[in-house]
Amino acid sequence: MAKNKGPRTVQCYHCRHRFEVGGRAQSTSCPGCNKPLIVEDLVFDTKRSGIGRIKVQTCGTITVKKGGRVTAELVEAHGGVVCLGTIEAKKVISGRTLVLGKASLFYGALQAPAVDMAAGARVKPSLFEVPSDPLGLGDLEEN
Amino acid sequence: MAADGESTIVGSDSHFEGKLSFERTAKINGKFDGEIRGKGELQVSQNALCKADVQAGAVAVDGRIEGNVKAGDTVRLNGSGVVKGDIVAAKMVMQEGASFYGMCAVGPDAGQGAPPAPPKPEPSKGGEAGKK
Repeated sequence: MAKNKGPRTVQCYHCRHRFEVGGRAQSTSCPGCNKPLIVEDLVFDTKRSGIGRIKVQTCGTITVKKGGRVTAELVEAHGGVVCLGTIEAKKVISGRTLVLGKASLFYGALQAPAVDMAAGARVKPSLFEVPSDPLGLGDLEEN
Repeated sequence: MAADGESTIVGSDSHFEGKLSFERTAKINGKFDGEIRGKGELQVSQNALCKADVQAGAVAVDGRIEGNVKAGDTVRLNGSGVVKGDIVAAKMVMQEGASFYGMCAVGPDAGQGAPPAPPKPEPSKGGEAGKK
């Protein structure tokens, strides 16, 4: 049975406009710029699941499971990123804490308010800016 | 500087400028300007400021380091820790709340060239014997 979730505030990753969506919404259009938005949580659990996409963006969370791999120019998740597999990107923006598991491999210029990195995580030479709030989500209440 | 057991300690009311070398453990509680090299673990306490390039077996940061950090084993960036500079280490643990601005390279290959990991403390004979 689906969880009964209330509305939540999201921020458009195109124009940064903020608005409310239903708790169970998976995608919508931004009322500010009319562009389509993904607001659901994305999960990548296979080696090929996230490869070849130029931008992987969501207003929710991105979870890369063990064995999963995301290769993209931009990875952006306003709800936070959990990486237990591999993320290779030019730029990674996490609106909340980036979690790097003990078997994770990470590459990309990172902007996140916080990082929780376990011993054993590997990072290819990458620029880290922690904490940073590129989305101005600091004042957006937790959903 | 004072000796405490086998540790080298820069006290909280001290300001040290220059090169520091150590074998086992060094703890910075005050201010340090210069260069730090050691085979063991460097601990930077919560209110400490360390403007130095650091090369050590392991580094634990609760205070602030402004400079590049290279560790043969683990860099532990605790919740109150701040690093402005590059980090190269075989392993890195970063807690929520820690701040880090710089390039980061972590992995078994990344720390090559840094001092080897600090020697692990010998297990206490009493405790081991008790388990057996």
